[in-house]
Amino acid sequence: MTQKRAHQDETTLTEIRIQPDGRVYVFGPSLGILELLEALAPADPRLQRILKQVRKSKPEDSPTREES
Amino acid sequence: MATQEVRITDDLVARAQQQYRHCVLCAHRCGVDRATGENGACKAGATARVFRHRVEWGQEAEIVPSHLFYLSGCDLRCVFCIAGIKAFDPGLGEELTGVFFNDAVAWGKMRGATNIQWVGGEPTIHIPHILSVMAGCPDLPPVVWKSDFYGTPEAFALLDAVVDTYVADLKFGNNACAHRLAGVSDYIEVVHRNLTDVASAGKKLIVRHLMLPGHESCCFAPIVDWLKENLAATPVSLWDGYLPSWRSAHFSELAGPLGPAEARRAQSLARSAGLKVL
Repeated sequence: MTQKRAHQDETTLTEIRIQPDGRVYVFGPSLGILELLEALAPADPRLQRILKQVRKSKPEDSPTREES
Repeated sequence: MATQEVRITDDLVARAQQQYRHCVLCAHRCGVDRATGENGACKAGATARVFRHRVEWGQEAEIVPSHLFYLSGCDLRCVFCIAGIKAFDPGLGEELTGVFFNDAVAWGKMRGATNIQWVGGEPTIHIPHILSVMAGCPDLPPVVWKSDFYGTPEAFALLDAVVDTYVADLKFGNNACAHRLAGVSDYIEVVHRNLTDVASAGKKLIVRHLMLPGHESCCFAPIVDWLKENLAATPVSLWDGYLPSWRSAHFSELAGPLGPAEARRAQSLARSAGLKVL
């Protein structure tokens, strides 16, 4: 696998499904989507734990920075 | 990313490779010679294939960001498998070679991954191949092993010095549901033994459970009872995002999503039992 091919993988993709009853499911959220969810639900303790951990290890070339 | 402070010896790799000649890696204990093309329950040969790899941020805080390697081929046949045919057909995906793996690890580090995580399908059926490529990785990150825990003691012995954190996907609370929905026998005895062994060995362990609609009393409640009795200090991750996948439409209770009330009751039951719910 080359670096070029690796960058074509699904790391920056998020699967979002909206059910007929209005429930929204988020699978495999990208970092950008996690940050968006934080804005929508800032009091979610599980999300806060994940983001705290992620931010400790967030690299300079993280996907959200690359693509923003 | 820290590197793994273990050395995967030639002897360990050689011992693992013997499994391909008489495979008892999972509890099916087929005993087939996978190296010569015989197939057991998982239909896998002696080559592991990656159908997806990516860095993920949305898992348990204890393991993110994690670089997941999805391997095709599985020892279970869960009718609700979200990966479906990709999990069950071991011929799908790109061959896991040393070059592929080393390049991918370097790429994952660049994206901030703090570990690599083997997932499936089921990685246990590919232990020899996985150990072989990890042995050739110069800066191996900590290894997370996400598994259905339907492996044998022989399989877990091969992982003992290698795995940093186990993520156990505890799916069912009784043998009847496991047989009906995943096609396996003796599920409870096998999985409970492995969970107990890993926990008592002092390994880092997270027990994950995807709550299934209609399986509150037959599966979820017994799981909570068993965890309370046996693994009360182990972190438990409850996933309530069940949606029908693969062949679940053929099973009436699995044909729709998990209801919010059922999810709330389950969370409440686990917490009131004193489980360490993440």
